[in-house]
Amino acid sequence: TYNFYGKIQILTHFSVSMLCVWRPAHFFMLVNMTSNSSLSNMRRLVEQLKLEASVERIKISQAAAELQQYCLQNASKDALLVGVPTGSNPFREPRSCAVV
Amino acid sequence: SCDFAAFTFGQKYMRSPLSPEMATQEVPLNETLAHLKTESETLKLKLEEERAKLHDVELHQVAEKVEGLGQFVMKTRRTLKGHGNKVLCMDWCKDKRRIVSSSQDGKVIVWDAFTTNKEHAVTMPCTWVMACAYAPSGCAVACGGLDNKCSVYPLSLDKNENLAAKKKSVAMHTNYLSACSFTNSDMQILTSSGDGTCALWDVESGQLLQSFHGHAADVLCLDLAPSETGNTFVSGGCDKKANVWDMRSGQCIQSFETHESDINSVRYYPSGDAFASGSDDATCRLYDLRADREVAIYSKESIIFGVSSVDFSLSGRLLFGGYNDYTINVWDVLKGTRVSILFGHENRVSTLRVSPDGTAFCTGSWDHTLRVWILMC
Repeated sequence: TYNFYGKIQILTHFSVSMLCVWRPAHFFMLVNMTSNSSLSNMRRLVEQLKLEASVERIKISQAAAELQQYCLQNASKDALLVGVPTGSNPFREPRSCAVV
Repeated sequence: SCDFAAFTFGQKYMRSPLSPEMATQEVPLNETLAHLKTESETLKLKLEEERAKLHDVELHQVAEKVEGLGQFVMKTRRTLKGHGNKVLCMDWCKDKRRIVSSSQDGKVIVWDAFTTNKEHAVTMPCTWVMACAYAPSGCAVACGGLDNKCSVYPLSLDKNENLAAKKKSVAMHTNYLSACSFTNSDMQILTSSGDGTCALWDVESGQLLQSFHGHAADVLCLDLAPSETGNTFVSGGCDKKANVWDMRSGQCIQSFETHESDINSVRYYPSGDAFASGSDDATCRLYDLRADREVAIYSKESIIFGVSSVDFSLSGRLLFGGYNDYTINVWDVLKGTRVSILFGHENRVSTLRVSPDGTAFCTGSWDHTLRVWILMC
């Protein structure tokens, strides 16, 4: 697909060489590991999931209200949203009239 | 001790030192493994349940009472020409006028975007310079790509000085550099790589300060939280995951997996309470960090090409997305609707950043140019 083209272009530029994996955490990326490393992988995954499950969460209604409040409070300063007074946007002038 | 595995192209082998004692432990090991697998599945389900409990309303429903945005006309006011090949990355200087950009042919250029003049140019020893960043002081730039490194070039006031002579190699990965960013000062750089990791480096010594493991494939992008919100950053990768990290401990503190393809770009909402992502699945999404879940999807049936880059306007109301179909789509973050579609580039948009004071945004493209856009009103 068209989307793939960019990534494949990058891949073909890689120099094909030995890729050495040292650290135990990298084993996440390997498949079919047997013995101790796959066990320690699973233990690490379970610990990570426990950590993520213990995160304190708020309701979307509250989170959304706060996102909205931030937008509205800062809207007047947002030059791409409401524009700024003529003359104070340096990019407004075409290049030939730019004051250096 | 750690096991050592090596891959060669087209072939993989493993060497694992099994002692005779371990052979007799086969059965208990398999039982423990199965037990852990069940536990991990249970935890994943619990995570989804906990997140779902708080899903009491949609963002766009909360935003129903907010006034809609009118017509948006945004135009290119500057076109920066000078790269000889695809522009892959760009970054603004804190002075709101200078820009650094990098391209496939190995060139890194520093521009004055007001005048469109080139102030510095350096040729990297590699092609596909996928990452570049301006130092907070404005006195240096960092860049890297297929060389697997991130190098820092101090910018000299003397235009004739050879920048390459003062180059400092800072980061070393085992695969391509996909993104880099200075932290709050010129002293530290955060990098992401095709080797699946992110890393924090000391610029002066080149020392690795912290590494971040957890992605299961190439990491393609990263963004630092706004300084007021503390020491975290978000990364996105080919494993479709967006991970939020604690910079001091190296721990992944939150993880989001709702995209259906590679995440090419991540950017924090200006308040630091949320972040947006852009993906090859043709959608942008908004994740709220305190609700710990996705809260909006920005998509249309007519948009089928991947998003390469995203950024917010100053207030966070607008989300700009650069797409592989050469366009920029502008989204109303609260209502979830598209407010504008911008044409101009003649090939895919590969990079997009809003200027530090929010007066303009810049896009870089495979058509070899960069464009600076503002709102016309």
